[in-house]
Amino acid sequence: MTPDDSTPTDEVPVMQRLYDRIWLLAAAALAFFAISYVGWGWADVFSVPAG
Amino acid sequence: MAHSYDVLGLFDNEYDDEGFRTCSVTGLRIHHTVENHVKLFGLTAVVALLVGGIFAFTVATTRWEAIGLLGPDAFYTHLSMHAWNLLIFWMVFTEVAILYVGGPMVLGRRLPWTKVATAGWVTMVAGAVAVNYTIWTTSAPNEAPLLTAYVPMPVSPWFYAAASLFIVGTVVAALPFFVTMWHEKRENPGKTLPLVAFGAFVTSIIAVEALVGGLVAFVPAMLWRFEIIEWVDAAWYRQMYWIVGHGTQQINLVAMITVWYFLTHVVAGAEVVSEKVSRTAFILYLFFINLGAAHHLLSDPAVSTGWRIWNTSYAFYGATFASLIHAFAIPAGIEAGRRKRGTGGGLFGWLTSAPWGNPVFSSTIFSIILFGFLGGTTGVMMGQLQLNMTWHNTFATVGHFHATVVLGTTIAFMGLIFFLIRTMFGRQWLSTRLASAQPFLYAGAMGVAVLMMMYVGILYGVPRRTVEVVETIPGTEFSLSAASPLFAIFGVFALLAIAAGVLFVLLAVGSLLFGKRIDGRDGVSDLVADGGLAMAEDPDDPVHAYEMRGTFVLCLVFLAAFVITYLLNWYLLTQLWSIGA
Repeated sequence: MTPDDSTPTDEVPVMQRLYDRIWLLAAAALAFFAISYVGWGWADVFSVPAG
Repeated sequence: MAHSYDVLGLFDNEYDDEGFRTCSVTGLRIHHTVENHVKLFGLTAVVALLVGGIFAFTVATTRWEAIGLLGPDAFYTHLSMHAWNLLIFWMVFTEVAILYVGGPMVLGRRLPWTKVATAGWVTMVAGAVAVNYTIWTTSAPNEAPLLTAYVPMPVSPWFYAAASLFIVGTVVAALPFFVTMWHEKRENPGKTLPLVAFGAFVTSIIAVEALVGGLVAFVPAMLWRFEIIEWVDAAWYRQMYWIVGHGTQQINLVAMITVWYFLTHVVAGAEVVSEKVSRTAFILYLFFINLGAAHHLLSDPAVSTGWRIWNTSYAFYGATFASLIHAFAIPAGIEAGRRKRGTGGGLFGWLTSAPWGNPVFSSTIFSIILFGFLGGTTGVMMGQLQLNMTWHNTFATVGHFHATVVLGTTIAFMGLIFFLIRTMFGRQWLSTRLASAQPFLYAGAMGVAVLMMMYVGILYGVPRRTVEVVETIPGTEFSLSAASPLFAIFGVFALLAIAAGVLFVLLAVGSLLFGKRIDGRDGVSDLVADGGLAMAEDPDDPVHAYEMRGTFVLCLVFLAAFVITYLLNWYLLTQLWSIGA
């Protein structure tokens, strides 16, 4: 098998295909923010006893 | 053909039968729907800059206690007007314009949902006017909200309603941008977005986080002040508030960097040395930059130490890394691009031969340098749990965000407006000589004022948000009178910076009203990089074939400054207490 058979020159690299999926990136970033900043923060804030 | 409402002739460019024209500087095909809305939002932003700038004068001359213009009651009202008009309205109106440039304009599309865009503008203006009104008419028992309208501070419920209205208006105004991107990806699924459009998209997602966070904070606060709900948890409010309080400034940052890529390419011939690297940096922003909001809570009791350190240090360093990438990529793009054009002899010939007399270029470069050295480095300091103790709630914090928002974003946006006056409004600057001098005056004076803010905060612990410290505290063990000389330097340079800001507004408005009308390409030839923009697209002459050693040296200088500042801050921290003495 020649290199050209396995890696056609017109194939778009994986990372470029990922970067082109802008809505997927946006959803992942929003989810990460919701977990890292909001969710964890709420868990901390509401674990403080009221009163 | 101008609309009958266009009495000043500001919206009267010539378009073809399909509503497009070709920009003689950028070569972009521009639809009139995009251009007119960019102008609308840009003009409104300048009005906000003018209003906020007026209050910059009263605020600066109050904190410079040799003048002491205002008493406490009036000061907080003026400070609130200053903050909301400059940190929010000037920035956000410009950023919506940038979204329309980065989206439909760069992609050569018309603006969809134009009535929605106009409705968004009307709602934003209504919200901004209402915010100003509620602040200006604040009376006891209510207090002016500053930018941090913390619950349970008694702030007018109508203020929260107005702020929420502005946020809703911004979301509405952003919808046509998202629709544009949706259509673009649906019609060209395998096509990679241009870097500027990609940067604008990242900006928009960061904006969504910030704006939703703002509504989550402000709407319950409004309901509480209207006595519809009984209470709002103060710690929860602060955590939510900073999503918008800090997030809006992150929108500024990413929009600013998108502007850097755009303007350095057009006026200086910069090229993107690595699309992969620059896009990766934008994606790091997308995931990590809004987490930096946590640095405002580093001294708060309710959130855990783990949450604070994770969000501000480990995760946020992803965004710091992205900034360092841009800090290398943009100068490298300028250097390689200019060497390719034959304008880059020696180590720094590419920089010394650059068009420094062009305010679009000089504004952009001052923004890059001053944001990096003063705004970015201090942001990293403040984001560290230990060093934050020496910065928190001191005047140094005010110095930090003036370094980012004024020395960085505002100067970049001023350069953008200089550019739009020529390319979209088709008017020559009222005075080329004054326009050339304005960025030097503004950046120089504001740079010194910002340094003084940092010094009085770090070296003397002068607090932020207060009217007096030097005059009222002397005689106690907390005397801050030693800060007086630095305050005097701050006052003089703050007034000089305000004068340079006034010059910008006069030039912008004067050029639109009285500037000579530009006909044809000759009138804008000085805005195009040597050799034209088409040179960047030559596949046989790749940009990475050119050396970037000048940028490498500059990056080493930056790294050295960063390390010295870091070590100096740690040294100052060790001087806080003499334990056991």
